[in-house]
Order: sequence, then structure tokens, then C-alpha cells
Amino acid sequence: MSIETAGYLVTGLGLYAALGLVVALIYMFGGAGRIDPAAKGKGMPLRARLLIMPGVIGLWPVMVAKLFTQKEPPVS
Amino acid sequence: MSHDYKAVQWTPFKKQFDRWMLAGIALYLISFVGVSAVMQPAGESFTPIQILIRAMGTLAFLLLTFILCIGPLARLTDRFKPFLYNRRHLGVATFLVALIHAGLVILWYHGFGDLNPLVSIFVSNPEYTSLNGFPFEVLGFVALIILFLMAATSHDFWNANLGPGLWKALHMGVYLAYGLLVAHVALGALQFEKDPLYVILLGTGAGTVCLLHITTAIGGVHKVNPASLNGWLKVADLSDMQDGRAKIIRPKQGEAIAVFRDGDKISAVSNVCRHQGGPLGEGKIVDGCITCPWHGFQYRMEDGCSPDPFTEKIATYATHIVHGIVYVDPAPNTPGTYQDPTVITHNNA
Ligand code: FES
Repeated sequence: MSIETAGYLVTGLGLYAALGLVVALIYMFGGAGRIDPAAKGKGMPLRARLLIMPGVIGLWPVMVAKLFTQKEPPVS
Repeated sequence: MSHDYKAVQWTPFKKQFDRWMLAGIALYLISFVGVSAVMQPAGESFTPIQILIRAMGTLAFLLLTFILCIGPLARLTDRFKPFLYNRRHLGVATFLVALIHAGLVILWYHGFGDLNPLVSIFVSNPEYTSLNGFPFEVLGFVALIILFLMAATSHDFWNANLGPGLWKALHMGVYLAYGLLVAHVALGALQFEKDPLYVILLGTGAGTVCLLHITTAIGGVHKVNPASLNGWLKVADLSDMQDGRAKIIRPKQGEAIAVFRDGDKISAVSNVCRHQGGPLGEGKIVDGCITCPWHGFQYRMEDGCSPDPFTEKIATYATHIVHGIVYVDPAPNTPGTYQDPTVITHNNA
């Protein structure tokens, strides 16, 4: 891999993570309750919200879609 | 109402488990660093940070190997069930150990040049066609990303909101991560490491994981219950059904079924807990409800519903008893459907 390609890759990963952080903050302040009633308000304390932030950063494209499409957790 | 989310669902056992886990990790690291410092081959001098890199790397490999062995071992013996129920914390610990290993590597081997250290990982070993020049660090990097995604989505919130299919698919990534890790060690450390201990460690670890999975896969095929009566599956002799406990039946298709006995009543429900897929059939009846052994979610035997105010529902199944043998219909009712329990009488027992 050339230095240039590696540079693009690392910048891309950084951008992905930065956008993920924005989505994670949305989830932190209300987004989680929007897709899952059990996570509304006191249903999910601050510490639990902080714990889900890394996951939102990692999977933010899926989680953005869920903000618009999901009202409650899917049933198995 | 469904159950609230907590940061961690602590139980006294879980706290004790974590204490033992942390003590084990500390003991391993101290022993590794101590033994490596004392037994350094003549003419070589590793810095403490290099020794720590190896200690963390080998520990992450051993932890992941152990995690992958827990599932098959728990199927072979009940002694491993406590590990099975607490695998989540082990997984997060493994990711953190691997992360420290990667951080130290970046700091020590890539942190002092002009290049961005992360870029340097991708370009330092560019020979994809040679064994000892292969960019093994990239393999470790991808494995670390997978471990991150798994650790980051191990909270209940994810299990519920990604949906069981996607969550499971994501967490099956552990096998890919393990394969990458084995390649990372084989193409990396083993190419310049003279101590045979590393080869033995890698071979034994990966071999054990493969062997255990193959053994239980073959064993599992025989576990499918062949005896049936007009399509109903034989569960067990009534005399083998312990009060307050269940027998687990695995039909050829569909979910495993937990068939419970509560006094003189027999009922069957899905074996899969709505919370995190815990094995309900390994739980027991507490206060008249089936209680999941993992985190204590409860379901009524006859309709598979959680008692008020909770709203979880699981599938129920029809049962019957003929000449003292319990049978279950493998076709599930819709979750939450009332199903008459089969009552044990003089006539059918
Ligand atoms: S899996 Fe958590 S209570 Fe069943």
C-alpha cells in the first residue's frame, strides 16, 4: 500500500469516527428513546447512555437509518 | 413496559467473577514480565515496553481462545456454564487488552518517525507476497476493529435494537477476528521469534478451538431427538422430569424448546429468552414463573408472557403425556399464546 493510499484510508476512518461522534451525541440526548421506548428518560441512565456511544460511533450509518425507521425494538 | 436499561446488570456472582478475572489478568501479566525479564537470552535486551507488548498480545490471544472454547465446553460439561453466562465481560476485557497491545505497538514501533503512526502501520511491511514481509499488523488492526464492534455492542440496548439476526451476525465476527489474529501472530511474531513456546502456544490454542467445535458439532447431530409420535417429539420419561426444572429439546427446524415440570403440570416454551437469548431451559421455576438463568427475566409457563408490568413474550408449545412419556409438538404457538398445561394423572403417568 502506498503512503498516499494509506493516508486516505486513515483520513477516511477519522472522518467516519467524527461523523459517528455526532450521531452518538444525538443518541445520547434523546435518539436512544426515539427508537426504543424503554430507553426514554429514566429508563436509561446517563452511564448506560455513555456505554452505548462507542457502538453508535462504530455503526452510525445503521443507527441513522434506525432514527427514521424504528419506533420500537424489532421482535425476534 | 419492558425492562429498563442499566449500565451493567450486576449480580453478586458477576462481581465475584469480574474480581477473579481481573486477578487472573494481573497475575498473568506480572508472571510474564517477571519470567521474561529473568530469562532474556544472552545478547538480547528487550525493553520493558517490548515485554509488555508481548505480554498483552499473548494474553489477548489466550483470552480469545478461551472465549471461543467456552461455548463447546459448556455443552460438554455444566462446569463451564458460569463462564458462558459471563462471557460478555471476558470479551470486553479481551478487547481492552488487545487495545493496549496495539497502543503500545503504535507508540514503540511507529510513534517516532515523520509519518503519521496510523499511516505507518499500513505501509511499514508492504510485501503482500512474502511470508516474512507480510503486513501482519494490518491483520491485527482489522481483528481489533471487529473486537471493538463486538465489545461496543455488547450492552443489552444493542441486543434489543439491532435485532437478534444482525446482532448475532455481528458477534459471529469473533471467528473472523480469531482467524485474523492467528494469521497476525503466524506472519508476525513467529517469523522472527526463536522461542518454540510461541509456536506451541499458537498451535495448541487454535487446534483446541477447532477440535472442540468439531467435537460438539458432531455430538450435536446425535442430540436431535429422533423418537417421535405422529410428529410430536419425545421429551423424556416423566420420572426423569425434575420438579421446577426443564428438559431442552432441539427440533430439526426452529428454536430449541424448554419443557418444564411444575408440580403436576407440564408446559413447554421457547428455550430462548427475549432479553439476550439466554437458555431458559437451564433456569428454574421461581414463584410460579420460568426464570432465566442469565439475568432473571421471568415468564409464565402457560402463556410465555412476563408477569406485569413487563411485556416480554415467548412462544409456547403443546405437550402431552402417553404411558409416562412426555411429548411436545414442535410447531410453536405465536408468542404469548395461552396453552393448557398437561396435567399428570394416574391415567397418563
Ligand atoms: S438473557 Fe438476560 S434474562 Fe435471559
